[in-house]
Amino acid sequence: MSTPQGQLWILVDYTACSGCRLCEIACSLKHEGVIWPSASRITVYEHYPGAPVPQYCVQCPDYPCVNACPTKALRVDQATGAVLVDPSLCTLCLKCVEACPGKIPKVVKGKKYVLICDLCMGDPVCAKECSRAGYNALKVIRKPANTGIKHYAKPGSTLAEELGRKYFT
Amino acid sequence: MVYLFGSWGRLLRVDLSTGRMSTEEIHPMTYRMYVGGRGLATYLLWRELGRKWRDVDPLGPENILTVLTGPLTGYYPGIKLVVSGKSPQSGGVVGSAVSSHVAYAIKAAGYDGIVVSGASRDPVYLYVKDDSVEVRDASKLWGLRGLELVRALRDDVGRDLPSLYIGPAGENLVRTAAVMARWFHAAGYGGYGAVMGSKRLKAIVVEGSGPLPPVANRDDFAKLRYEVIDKVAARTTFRRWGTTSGLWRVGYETSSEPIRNWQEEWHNREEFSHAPIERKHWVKNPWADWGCPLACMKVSRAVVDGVIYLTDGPDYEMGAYLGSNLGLFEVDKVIALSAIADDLGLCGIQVGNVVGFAVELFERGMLTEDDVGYTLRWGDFKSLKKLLEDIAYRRGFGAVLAEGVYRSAVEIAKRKRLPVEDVLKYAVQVKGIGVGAHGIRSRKDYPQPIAYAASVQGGDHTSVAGLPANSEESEVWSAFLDSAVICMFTSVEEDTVLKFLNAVTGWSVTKDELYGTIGPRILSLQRILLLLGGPDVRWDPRKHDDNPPRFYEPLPTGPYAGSLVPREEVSKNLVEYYRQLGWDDLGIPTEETLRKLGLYDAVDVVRALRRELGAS
Amino acid sequence: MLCVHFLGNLSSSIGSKLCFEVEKCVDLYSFIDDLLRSKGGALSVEEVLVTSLDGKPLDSRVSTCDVSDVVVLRLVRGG
Repeated sequence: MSTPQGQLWILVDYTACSGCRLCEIACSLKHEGVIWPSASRITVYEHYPGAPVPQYCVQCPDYPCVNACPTKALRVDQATGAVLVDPSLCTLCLKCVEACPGKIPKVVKGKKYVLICDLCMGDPVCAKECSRAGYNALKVIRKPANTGIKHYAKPGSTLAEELGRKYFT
Repeated sequence: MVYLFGSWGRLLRVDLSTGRMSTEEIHPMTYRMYVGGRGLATYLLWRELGRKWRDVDPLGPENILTVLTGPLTGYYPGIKLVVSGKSPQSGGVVGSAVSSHVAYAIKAAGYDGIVVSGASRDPVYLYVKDDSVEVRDASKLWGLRGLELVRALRDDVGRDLPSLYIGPAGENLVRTAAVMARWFHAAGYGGYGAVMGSKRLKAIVVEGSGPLPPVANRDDFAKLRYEVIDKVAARTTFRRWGTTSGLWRVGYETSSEPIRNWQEEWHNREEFSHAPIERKHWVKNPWADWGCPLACMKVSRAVVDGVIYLTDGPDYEMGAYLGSNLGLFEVDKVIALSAIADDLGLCGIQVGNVVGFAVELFERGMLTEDDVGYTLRWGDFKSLKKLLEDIAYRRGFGAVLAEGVYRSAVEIAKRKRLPVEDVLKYAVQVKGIGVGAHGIRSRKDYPQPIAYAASVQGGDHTSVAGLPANSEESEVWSAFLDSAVICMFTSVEEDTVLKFLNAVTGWSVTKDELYGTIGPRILSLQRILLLLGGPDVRWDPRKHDDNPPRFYEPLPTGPYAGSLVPREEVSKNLVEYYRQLGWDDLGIPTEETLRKLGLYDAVDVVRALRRELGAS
Repeated sequence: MLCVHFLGNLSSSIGSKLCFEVEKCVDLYSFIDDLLRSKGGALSVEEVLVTSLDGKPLDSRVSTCDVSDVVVLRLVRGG
């Protein structure tokens, strides 16, 4: 499977992440026009002090969520590789959440469709915000050809637990 | 129709005696007058307890615990909330600020704050999930220390949510107990951990799923937000070293670090500096709170006697008070004491202050092994650790020190049949509150000679008084930051912060209004409640608007040896500062000032206060 | 002529106002930085706020020739 030219990926540096959630704030400001962390497409989990883990859609090469959607509300944006949600087709049946190995699509009170990172159509605001604040924990790169990226798709609490234990126990 | 931006105009109220829960609407005019946070807390306490203030036992069910955000909370980079109530330390109102994700969660749940009254019979915790609020059984959580508790709460609610909580110290009504957050964060000043404990309230867990309230001017807000982020992110050395760098600098450079209960304020111990601490102990840098572009925190790790200890930094205050102030310069052990204080839910500043006081009395032979049960020695990790635990659990002599430095001194004088002044002279406190780790003798640090003497929050180093009263040197500025509610470390020039406030709220607050009415209004009410005091403490301005006696002793060592605070300057500056705030020579707001500030209902109270003090 | 006004303890250790003949235009922040370092106390420009007399922020693009009076006060009051 080849990765089309131009498709993106956000590479996270756990050691650089301060756990500040500016990515969540920027994401919700961009997508919802307000500061609304619950509706952010990126979420930071922190089970141990200083071991925060930002979690977001990793665009699995086989896109199990897209395949699981019974209403065709999800599709892959060929330009960026992001999963796009069609709000008019999504019925919040949660089949995509079940199919996602990280349970990443978000269901939020007040939104009538699931929320999935759209890579800001090619210019992710979370990464920009992170750099502006000087942390540089999120770096936009060309989508890796390596299928191992799928292994980042794990529940946020699992990631936070694994990372924290490595540091602190 | 009056619109409100930046706040919801709604508080969640929980009465733990009756289990009754309600929401209270706060009028937009009240926000305009008191802003939020510390200002709003003072207003609520004045309104609900003001008439019976002296009789209100801070640790009785009649006290009210407030947990409030402000209009800038969540919008301005760098988050805080303010815990308040009648303080079990000063008998007044202390706005105790803490960085906590709970601050944004409260707003995202649709409230500006939480007000807890009454007291539960059995241990409980409060679980706020948007508009559903539960008082949950906490009998299995009671007794847990911080680290265990955070995990147990996560298991109990089934996910990782921000919380405020108390450790054993708060449960045992220790007056130096803090309200804790996120492992190492504390609302320490004021002793509100004990207030939570008196209400049998172990924790407040908040899950807010909604957006923050709307802002008035979105374009200005967006622009100002990046202006502040850029400015704050440019504070390179602060980010890299955090306040840990103070351990070297405040000691070696500015001679204002507490050493052995403030007997000295200068040191040249290289190990007590950020560079070796970074190499040996920091396992995570940067570490930041919600929405913060500064990241002053660092996670440090030390292994002492086979036990892993984690804490922040140690940040300057913890390092100074649980290190140098106790004659302990071995950083791994300082980290351990800091972690132990966090885990027990003790305010590291207040407990380091009272323990330093006890060790000095021991050194002077005023306390002996018969009193304490064991030997106290500067820098002796084992006995210091034991004493922290004894205080948190009120065991043995720990029960005396659990009352905080002022009340301990009074009690020790009584037991030893000594004049109280002879013991109080070693207590480095102002109005029941141990002085933060920034001395005033060298004049090279930020606090002025009247910083603590004139503060409405006593020894609180985050709320210092200073001249001119219409500048950031004044306590008005701290009161404003605590009301807005934003972090002092991410604050910038007042002009930009006011623009930010106006963009979010749609107000048009000017510098004149801030220093002329808003600030003096909050401080005047805090001052009145502090002077009312009670039930067990009463402050006389002529006696207690003063520095601890130690600050009048010359510094014995360092480049500023011989330096002390001139008494005449203190009395002169006090009067001048009071005058600038519209207060009389004793620091009591004049009737004219109260009318100007719209505090008509305080006029008769102030008249009575003045009569009592024998002032005209 | 450029006058630098100091607030709080800076005024008691450095002086409430220091004035300088401006011979050449230099970056205001570097100028204040040099001034603070020359006075001891381990302070640099990163730890103070630099404003106009009426409290307006002066950014790093301002030169010593653009202003006649500036106020310097300590930024971090706590920690």
